[in-house]
Amino acid sequence: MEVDFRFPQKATCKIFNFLETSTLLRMRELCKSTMEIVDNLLIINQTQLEQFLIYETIEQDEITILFSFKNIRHLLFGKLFAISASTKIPTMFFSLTIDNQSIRIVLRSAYFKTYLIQYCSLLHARLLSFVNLSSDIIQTCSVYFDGALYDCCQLEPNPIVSNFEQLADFVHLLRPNYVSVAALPRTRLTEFQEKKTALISASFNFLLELADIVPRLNIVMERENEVNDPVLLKLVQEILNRKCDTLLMDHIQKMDTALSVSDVENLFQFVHHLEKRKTVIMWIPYEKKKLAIGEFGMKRIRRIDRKSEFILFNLSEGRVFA
Amino acid sequence: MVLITLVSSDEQNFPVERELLKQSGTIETLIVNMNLDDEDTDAAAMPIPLPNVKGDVLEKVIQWMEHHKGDPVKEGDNEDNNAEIVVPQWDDDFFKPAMYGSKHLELTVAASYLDIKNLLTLSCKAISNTFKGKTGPQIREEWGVPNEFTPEEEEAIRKENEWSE
Repeated sequence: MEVDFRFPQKATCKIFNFLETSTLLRMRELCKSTMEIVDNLLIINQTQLEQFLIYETIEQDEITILFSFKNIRHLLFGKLFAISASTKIPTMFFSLTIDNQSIRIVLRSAYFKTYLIQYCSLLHARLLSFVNLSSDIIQTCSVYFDGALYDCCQLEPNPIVSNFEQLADFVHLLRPNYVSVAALPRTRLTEFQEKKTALISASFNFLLELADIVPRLNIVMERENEVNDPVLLKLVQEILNRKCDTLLMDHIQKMDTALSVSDVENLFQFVHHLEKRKTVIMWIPYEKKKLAIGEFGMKRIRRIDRKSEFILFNLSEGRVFA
Repeated sequence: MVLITLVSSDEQNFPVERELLKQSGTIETLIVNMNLDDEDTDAAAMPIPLPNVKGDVLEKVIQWMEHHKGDPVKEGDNEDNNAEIVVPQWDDDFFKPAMYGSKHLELTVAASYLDIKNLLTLSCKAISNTFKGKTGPQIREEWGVPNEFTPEEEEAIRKENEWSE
């Protein structure tokens, strides 16, 4: 009598989950049904990624997709399917690099949608990252990711196309709990001097829109060595007036301080009058580390150098956040 | 002692102690839905049909449940910690005669259908143990699985696997 390995899904998953990776791959050699089962395991289990990054280089009409896998088994599945999906794309428009944790795919923008549907639909990532995306690619991603549940999202808007509104709508679709966004790097703005004011305004509006959508916002800023910045203080205050309840202001240059001493004091006063519990994490000048106003205090989290401290304010019934 | 009658797909009747059936999520649900636990209900007069399980397989399932009477029943569908699961000697001996054949696979399918979590886990673990360290053709030979692949297809799969390893 012939043995039929087509089991109920629950039993199949159990048997195959007991196998170490090399044996699991050999099950593809057994018969067509086991090959199908192994290949479909990817769909059943939704291969878990640490990160799924989409990076666009508009000038070269290229998209880079980076998959960082959780473990070696998922990486093996990823490899199998990366090959399978790439057969639909002419070799000259597609390249694939693999190391022991990730797969990097570079393809022409025209093939992005094909690849996204064929391959990426099988994957689920902890962190979604979108860098420099044009409007067309955001549009494609909006259709594809609509309804998907992602907890963490990382964004770096493209200053050339400045499609902030579209990007905010996209984040609205994703509804993540946490967004990390690279605000417009100021050094890069020297390339767009005429548009500088408009770009800053648009990017700050974008941050405010995000603050209306997500409860946890991380803003990564690249700053020149200026200390006093009332615009930044105003931005922080506006963000804290919105849905966002945890704000992390991070800086590429760790030695920079975000706000002056007087800005920090102003911010303390401001937070003091908010009704909702808010948490702010940012850098302040070192000499003010013992600052405390009213019900607010700050706790030293980590000392980077003697000039700056990473600090945390908290409104929690007058207690310092521990 | 309350007995409940199970009827296999080939119309064989199996009177089974009520207590044993707590191991099967599917039968437990049917018992509740049919009010068989009510004092007013004549459970013996209301057999439970199991159209997806043949008599010889159901007999093995009952034998397994009798041995495991009183074992804690797993709840939920949480994945087992693969490293910790060892097939006990009694179960290994129980599975062995039918191993490498359709009967063991049918027992596994029945465990899945009847939602007997411990039996399903041990049965799947026993199957997976027979695959360890073997090539596709070796497993084919042991389990009597016909080779459906052309030599070209076999070569292509082998290359894909090699590339992935």
